[in-house]
Amino acid sequence: MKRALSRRTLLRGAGSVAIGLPFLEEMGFPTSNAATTAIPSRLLTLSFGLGIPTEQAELGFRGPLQPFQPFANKMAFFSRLDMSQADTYGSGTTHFKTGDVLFVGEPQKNEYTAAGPSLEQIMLRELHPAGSPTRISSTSAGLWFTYGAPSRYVCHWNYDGTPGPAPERRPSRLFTKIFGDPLPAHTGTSSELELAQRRRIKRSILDSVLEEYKFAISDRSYLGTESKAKLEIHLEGIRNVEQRLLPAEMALTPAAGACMPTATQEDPAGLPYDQETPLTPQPAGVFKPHSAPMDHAAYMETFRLQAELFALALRCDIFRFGSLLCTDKGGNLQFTGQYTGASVGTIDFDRETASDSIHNELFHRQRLAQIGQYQHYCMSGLASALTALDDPLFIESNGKTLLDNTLVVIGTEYGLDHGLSGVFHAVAGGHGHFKSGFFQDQANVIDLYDTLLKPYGIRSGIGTRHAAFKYTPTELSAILA
Amino acid sequence: MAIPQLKRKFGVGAAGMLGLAICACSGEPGGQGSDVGPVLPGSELSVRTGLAGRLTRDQHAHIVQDVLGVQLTEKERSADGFAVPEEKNSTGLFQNAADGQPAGDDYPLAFGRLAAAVAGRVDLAGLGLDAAPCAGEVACRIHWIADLGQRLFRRPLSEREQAAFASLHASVVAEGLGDEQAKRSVLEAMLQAPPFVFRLERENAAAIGEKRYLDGFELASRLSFFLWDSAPDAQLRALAESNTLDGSPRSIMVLREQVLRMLDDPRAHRMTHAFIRDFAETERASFAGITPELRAALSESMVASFESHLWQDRGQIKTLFTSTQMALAPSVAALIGITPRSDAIESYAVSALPERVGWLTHPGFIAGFGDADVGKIVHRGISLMVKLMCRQPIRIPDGAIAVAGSFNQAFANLNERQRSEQRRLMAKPVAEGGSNNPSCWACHSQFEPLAYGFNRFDAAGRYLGEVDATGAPLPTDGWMTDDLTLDESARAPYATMHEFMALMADSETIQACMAQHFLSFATGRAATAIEHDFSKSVHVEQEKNGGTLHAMVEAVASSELFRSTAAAQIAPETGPQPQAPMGGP
Repeated sequence: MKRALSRRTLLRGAGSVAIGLPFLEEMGFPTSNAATTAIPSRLLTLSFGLGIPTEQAELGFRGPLQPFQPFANKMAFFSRLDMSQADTYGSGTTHFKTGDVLFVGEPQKNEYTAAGPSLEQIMLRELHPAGSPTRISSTSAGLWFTYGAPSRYVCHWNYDGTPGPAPERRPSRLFTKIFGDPLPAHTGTSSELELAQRRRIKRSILDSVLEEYKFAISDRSYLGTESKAKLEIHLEGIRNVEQRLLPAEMALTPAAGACMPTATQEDPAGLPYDQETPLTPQPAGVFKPHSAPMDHAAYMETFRLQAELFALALRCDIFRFGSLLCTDKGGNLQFTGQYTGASVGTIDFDRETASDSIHNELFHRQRLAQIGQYQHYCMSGLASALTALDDPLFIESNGKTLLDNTLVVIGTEYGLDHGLSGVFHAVAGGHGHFKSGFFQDQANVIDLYDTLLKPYGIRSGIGTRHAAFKYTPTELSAILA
Repeated sequence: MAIPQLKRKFGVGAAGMLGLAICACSGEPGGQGSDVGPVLPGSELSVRTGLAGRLTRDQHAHIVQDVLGVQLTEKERSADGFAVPEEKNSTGLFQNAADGQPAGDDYPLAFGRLAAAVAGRVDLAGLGLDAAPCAGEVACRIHWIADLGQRLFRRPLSEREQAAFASLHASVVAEGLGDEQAKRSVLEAMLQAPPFVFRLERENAAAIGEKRYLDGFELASRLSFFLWDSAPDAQLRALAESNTLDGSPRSIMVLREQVLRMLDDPRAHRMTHAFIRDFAETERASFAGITPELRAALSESMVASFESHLWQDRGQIKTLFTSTQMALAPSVAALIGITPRSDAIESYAVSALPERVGWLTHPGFIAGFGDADVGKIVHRGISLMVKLMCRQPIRIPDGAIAVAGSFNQAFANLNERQRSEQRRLMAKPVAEGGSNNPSCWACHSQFEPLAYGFNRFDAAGRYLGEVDATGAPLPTDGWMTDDLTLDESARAPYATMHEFMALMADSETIQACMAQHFLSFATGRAATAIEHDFSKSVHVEQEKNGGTLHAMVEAVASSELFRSTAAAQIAPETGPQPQAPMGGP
C-alpha cells in the first residue's frame, strides 16, 4: 500500500533531534505490511564459532543444546554434516577456509572471496529479482573481535563472492541503520520552502548518481561481469543509505503499535567495540590477536539487544534477510566471570582464559567438558534471538509468531578441532516447511542449504558456482514437512 | 650450498619439483591464483582482465586535493563513520588492490557525505575551468562539465554523460539558484558517480580474452595511480588526448619520459609511502607497551629508511637487505638502545649493533609481524615466505591433520622453539632419533627456517641476544631454499643475520618476488600467477638498469602487463547447470 508523505512534516525523535523525511515527492513504503497482508518469506542466519563436538550435539537437550529446549517443536538439529570441500580447495588455516563456506556451501575462491552468495542473499535475489521489497535489503550484525581474513567474521557474501559489510557491533549504530539517522535540529532560520528546495536538489543529485550506476551495470556498459557486480553492490549501498534517511512511517505514526521503536539504543559497557583493526590501540596487558577480556554477561546482553532490534525490524518489515554473528569464526575471545549451564555445569572464564583465549585453551586442547560449557553459553545467546522472534505478543496474520514465519539457519564453521565432518547446524521456524527433531544422518552442508531453499521455489545454484568444485545436492527429504 | 648454486642445480625447473614434493606445501606461485587469464595465441604471457577498483581513502583525498584544490579535514580523512573506510588488506599485501574489496553501506555513505562537503567549499574559480556564467548558454555549460568531468573521471565524458550532468545543472538553475550552485551540484554528483568512485577501464573493447593495449587515458590513469596515488595531471591528459601516449610499443619512449617526470614530482613519494606501509604492516605492532605514538613512529621510521635508501641515496633495491643505515624516530632509536641525536627522524649507522643489518631487521618491520610477546616462529616464517618468496602456504594435507592434532596435544607445554625442533626431529629417520614422519616438517621446513634468524629479536624488534632466558642457545641458524623437497643439500644455510641478509640480497627468487610486489602495487591487483610470470623479466630489466627504485618503476611501467588488459566476460552464464556429483558425503 503506497502512502504519499507530506514534505512539510518534521517529526521529533529521541532527544532534541529531528528526523527528516525523505526528499522524494512521493514515497512508497513496503507494499507488504506484516500485520495485514500475506506472510513474506524471511531468512536469518545465526552463526557461532568453533563448532560443537558431535557427541555433545547428540546429547540433545542434556548437553550444550539445552537452551534450545523451549523451541524443540520448532527446530531441527543436524550433528553430522560434512564440509570437507572446504579443505580441498581452500587456503590458509581452517577458520579462513571454512568461514566463507558456512552458509555458502562451496569452497572459497580464497580466504577473502567466497564461491558465491550466502543463503539469505540467494533468497533475497531469487524471490525479488527486481530488487528488495523492503526499505533495507539485508542487514548484518553481531559480535566479533578478530581481524584478518573477512571469512572469519563476515556472514553476508555477495553473488560475486565478495564480502558484504562487516557485522555491525554496536546496538546504537544498528538502531540508527534500521530506524534512520537523526538530522541536526532545525534551527528555524530557513523557511520551509527553502528546506523543500534543498531536498529537491538533493533528490536531483542522487537521481543523477543513481542513473549513472544503472547505466554502468546495464548492457550498454563497457564493463565486464565482475566489475558490474561490484558496482551493483555499491548501487545497492546507495539505495540503502537513501532509505536510512527515511524513518519508517509505520514506526512513527500513532498507530504504529508493535513497530514503534523504543528510545535510541545505548551500547552496553565493557565491550571493545572499536577493536576493529590492528591500528586500534589495546589497553595495557591485552595482547592481540585476543580480544580484551570481556564480561561474559555483558557480551550476551549486547547480542540479545541486537537480536531484539532484528526482531523489531523483521516485525516492521524493514528488512527480511539478515545475519547475526554471536561469536566469530575462529575468534580468540577472552571472557571474565562464571557461567553456569544447568546441563553442563559451571565454567570459570577468569581461570580458563587467564593467559589465552577460549580457542586455544579449550578447543585446541580438546577439553570437552569445558567446550560443552562454553557452547552452552553461546547457545544461550542464540536462544535469546529465537526468544525475541518468538514473542507471543506479536502474532502475524496467519496466527503464528515471527519465528514460525522466518527461516532461521544456525551454523558454525567446523566440527571438532578443525575437523570438517560432524559439523553442527540447526534450523528454526521455516514457515512450516520443515520437521523438528534431531537428524544424525551424514549429509553435506550443500545438501542442507539446497533443501532449505527448495520449499520456497528456489533453485539455489549451490554446487555450480565454483570453477573447479561441482556438486549436485541431494534432497534431505527426511526434514521436509 | 649458496642460493646461486641452487639456481644452477634447479634452474627454472624448481617449480616442477612441486609434483615430487611429499606434500604440495606452497600454493600457486604469486598469490591467491584466483584470476589467471587465458594464454593467447601470439602472446607469450597472458595479462589481467579489468576489474573495477574502488578508490581508497588516500586516493580519494589525493584526487580531491590535486584536482580540486580541497584539503580534507582530519575528520574527513580519518574519522570512523565519516571518512571513506580504510581498506583492510582484503587480498594480498596492498590496500590498493581491486580484488576482494569489502562492500558495505559505509562506503557510499562516506563518498556521498564527502562529495557534499567538497562541493560546498571548492573554489570553483580556482579550478581553471571556464568560470563564466553559463546560464542559457548550453555550449558553455557542456564545455565546463566536460572539462571538469575529464579531470575527475580520468577520461573524456561521453555525450550521454555530458547531457545527463547538463540536465542536472539545468534543473538546479530552474530552481532559481544560479549558475554557481548548479555547478556545485554537478560536482557533488560527479564525486559520487561510478567513474570517479571506481577506477574503470573498458573491458569489452576486444573479443573476450583477447589482449589489447590500454588507450591513452587508461594508461595515464594507471601511471598516475601507480606513481602519485591520484588522478592524471594536465600533461598526461593532453598526451592521452593527442594519442601521443598509450599502451602500445610505439609510445614506450613517451611513457618513459613521463615516468621520469612523474618520479621527479614530490607526489611520487606517495608511492613509496603506501608501498612500504602495506609491505611492512607496521600498524600491526602489538607488543607490550606499544602506544599509538610509538606505532606511528615505527611506521614513519620504516618509511623514512626506505626513502632514504632508495630516493636520497639512489640505492639498489637488493641492498636494502644489507644496508647498515636505518632511519629512526627518537622513540624508535631508544627502543633498540640507540641514544637519539635529536627530536627528528634521523639516519643512524647500525653496523655496531649486534645482528642489525638491512631493512628486515628494522624494528618497524619486525614489529609488523604483530607478535604479542615472544616471537612466533610459524607466524613469522609464513609472513616471510609470503612477503619475500611470494609463496602462499596451503592447506594441511589430509594425512597430516590428525598428526597435527595429536602433535599439538603431545607438545602442548613446549614453547615454539621447542615445537619446531620436535617437528624437525619427527622427520628424521629412526636411526637418527626421529620417527621418519615428515608430514609436518615437509611444509614447515619451507618457512620456519626463515624465522630462525629473527629469534634473536623480540616482538618490538629489540635484540634479545643469542641465548634465551634460561641461558640455552636460541636456534638462530636457519636456511633458505628454492627446493620444495627435504633435500638438505639444497639448502643455503646461515648462522648470522649478515649471512642471512646477504643470501636474500643474492636470491633471484626474492628479488623477483620484489618485482612481483611492485607489479601488483602498480596495477592495483592482488598478485596471481600472471604477475609471477612477469616478475622475472621485470626483475632482469630493473637489474640491468641499475637495480634502483627508479629502474624498478621504469621496468614495471614498461612491462606489457602494465600497458595491456584483456577483455572480460561480459554476460553471466545463463543459470546453474547440473554437473557430475562430487561423490557424496
